[in-house]
Amino acid sequence: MEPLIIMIFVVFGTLLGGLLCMIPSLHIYNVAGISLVIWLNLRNAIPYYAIAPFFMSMIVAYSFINTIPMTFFSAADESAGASILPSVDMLKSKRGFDATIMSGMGVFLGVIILILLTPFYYFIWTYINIICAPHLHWILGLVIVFYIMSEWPKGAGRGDKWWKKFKDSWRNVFAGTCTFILASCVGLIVTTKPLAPPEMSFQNIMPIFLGFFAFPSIIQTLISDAKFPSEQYQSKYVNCKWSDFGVAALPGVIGGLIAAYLPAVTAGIGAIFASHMTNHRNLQQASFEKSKNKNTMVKLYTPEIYYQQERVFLIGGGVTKVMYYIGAFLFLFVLTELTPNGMGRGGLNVLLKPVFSPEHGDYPIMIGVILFSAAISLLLMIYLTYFVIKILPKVNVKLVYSIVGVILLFIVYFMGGKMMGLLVAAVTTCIGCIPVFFNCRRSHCMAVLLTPIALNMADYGDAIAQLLRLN
Amino acid sequence: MKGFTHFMSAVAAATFIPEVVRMSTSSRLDSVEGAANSFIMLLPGIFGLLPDFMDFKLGQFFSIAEYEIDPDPLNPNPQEMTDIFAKAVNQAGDTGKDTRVQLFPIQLGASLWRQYNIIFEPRAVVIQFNEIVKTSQCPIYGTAPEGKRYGRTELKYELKARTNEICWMNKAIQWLRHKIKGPDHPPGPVKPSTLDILSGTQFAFHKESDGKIYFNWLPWHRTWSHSYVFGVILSIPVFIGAYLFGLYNWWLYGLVAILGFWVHLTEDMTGHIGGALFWPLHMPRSEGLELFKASDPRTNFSLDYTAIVLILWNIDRYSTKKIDMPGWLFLLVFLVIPLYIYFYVVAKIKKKLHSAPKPTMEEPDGSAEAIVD
Repeated sequence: MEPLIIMIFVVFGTLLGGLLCMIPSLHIYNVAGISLVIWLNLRNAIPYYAIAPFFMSMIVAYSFINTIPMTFFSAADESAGASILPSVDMLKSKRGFDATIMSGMGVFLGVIILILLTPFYYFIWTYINIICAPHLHWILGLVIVFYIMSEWPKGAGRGDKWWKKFKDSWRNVFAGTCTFILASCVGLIVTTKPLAPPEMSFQNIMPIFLGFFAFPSIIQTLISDAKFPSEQYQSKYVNCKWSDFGVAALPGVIGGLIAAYLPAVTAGIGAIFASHMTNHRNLQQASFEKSKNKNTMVKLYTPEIYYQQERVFLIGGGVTKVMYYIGAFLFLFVLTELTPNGMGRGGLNVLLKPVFSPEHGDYPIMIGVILFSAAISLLLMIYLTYFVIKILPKVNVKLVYSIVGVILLFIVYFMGGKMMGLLVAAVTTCIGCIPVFFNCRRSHCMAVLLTPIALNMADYGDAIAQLLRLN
Repeated sequence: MKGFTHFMSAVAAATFIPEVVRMSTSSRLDSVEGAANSFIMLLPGIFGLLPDFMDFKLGQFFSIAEYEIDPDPLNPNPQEMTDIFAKAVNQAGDTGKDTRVQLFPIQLGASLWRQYNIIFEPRAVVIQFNEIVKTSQCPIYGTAPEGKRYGRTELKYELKARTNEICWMNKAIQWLRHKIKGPDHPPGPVKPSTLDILSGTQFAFHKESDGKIYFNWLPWHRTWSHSYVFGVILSIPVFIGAYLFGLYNWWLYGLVAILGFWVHLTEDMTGHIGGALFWPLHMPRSEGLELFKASDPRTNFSLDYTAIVLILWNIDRYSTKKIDMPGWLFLLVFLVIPLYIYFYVVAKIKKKLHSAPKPTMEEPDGSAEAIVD
């Protein structure tokens, strides 16, 4: 009977996760928070042995299906500087379907790799986990250092004086640093003086993350003039090559493992590190060839490996999502002598820890759950993409975002601490708007967790709180 | 090398100092004597990135060019551009004073740029407009300008890519390079340059005793910022700060900062441009050993991977002590064998890439554009 009940909850979790992540602009931590509220209301309805499969299937569905709102309902426009994502770029050229399917296939590849890497988790990852554990504070510190110092100035540096050139060039870098510092301050305040009572502590995070990620996207969409073609081409096949999957696997796995292991490091941050490490585009560089055209002196030949990057980005992004979302939760079930409590990370782990403990033998069950849920999610994603493309010409994106905005405001008010929650969300929305309007990385907002976690791991939390007079 | 490679190598180098690893260990791990939750490891990371950070985010703005070429995005005129370029070269030749020319990119949209090439003939400069490219530098089919796409202007002086004004430092580096690689190839023509996305580029022109103009690409790059001496100067505040804060082993903080900076400079010496290694004591920029291209993914990835393995090995042997395996075996299994496999696979891929026939079409075939079914 137990397997049947687990399967029912897997189907239920997959459908619920798929439904939740179709809401545009929600961050994974928001989904996790809402999931927990659902759990609190359904705790008597879900048997103990089905809790983990239920939440796992929600996360699996999220990994697959959030590609759809990310592609079709994202808000980047001409103000996004040079940072338009390939999925948005493809949407503009009527290839939103291709972008979604490639990302989805990347997620499916990620699921297969995640399972095939099982021996790695038991025999190598556990050691890395234990070796790095007492050093996490400076590793996180290094993530912060590289993340800030590697933001590239997007301005061309125009001006007749050095300071004018500097100003033109540094807009996005300055905005990024500013966002990082402000988000760090919010993080230090919130971790020192929690806004919600301890029994509802998980709700602390919700208004913060809705403010940093959801509301700025909503504002951006509402004021944006960007127009995307509502007619999208529907390919019959997956428009990429087999070799794209091979090339995308390495950055996907590295980025995902970084995000899955390091607290507060998201898939976006992990992907930045992985791309710096693994980009092999220069294996073949653009070359100058003799021109046969009388209007030109040379022909610059751009090799196929340049074009491949777009596809690798989409597929690799899918792999990263799996390692980050699903892997971080799956590691909870890797129970060894070195890791008797598993190696789980991420929002869902934190949320479930008080109500659930992994046991030996859970790992293979979770593998089965992932495979079952992934199969349903992949099919669901394909058919939902068809559906979205069909209704896209009739959808008023601004109206959808307005409705989502109102719903989220209600969620913040009723589940995130009433007026205090709204106030916190207002502050973090202002900070979250900086990257949106000044074209820097939005993950700078993750400093809200990165900085306090790094400082607390090094036992400097109290000292900093005293310095800020928060104690 | 790329920034991430310098960053990782610098951190890996610092982990070879046992006391640095022990100080960095969390004090919750009571088995490590001297564990102090230190953030000292951030210093090699910061200083490992600092030379290029100072160049690309600060130094380049102090290099104000005498001539600027900033084409109109809606109506770019390649002839006007080559005329300005030639004026800068000719002025350097006529007056004997160095000149610089700054070229800017042409942004057409959020992720759209007009690509152009600067092509050098012995006595002429050509600027040719190509297709519109995305930020990924992929051309978009059918966007090449119509009609004549280039401008060409004769130069009064011949350009050359290698200087013959060699100082003692460059003579020493040339000697070392010849010992490692054999004699240099005879200097060829100045290679064409492509300008498309994000930032522009700068060239400096210097007339030499043979009457030719030495052509210096990015004259602000790897000068004062890439100096072993300047690295020491920059670390002085770190020594002082650590001392004033009364930090345990205060001198180590400055030392790892210097180490991070020096690792960056030494890695850069393997490329084509070296650095002003002893600035401000000796100003000229050196040549490099020309062993690898800075952008070569094989060098960068293998060094990144090596750094990760060495960091794990060092922090384990100096703090956690969980790896129950002799050092040589660990390095063989986790470093040598994986890198051997990596180089083997990449060599196969590279061979396949380069053996593929290049399309003969004049326009890009748009192979990534809607490979429709």
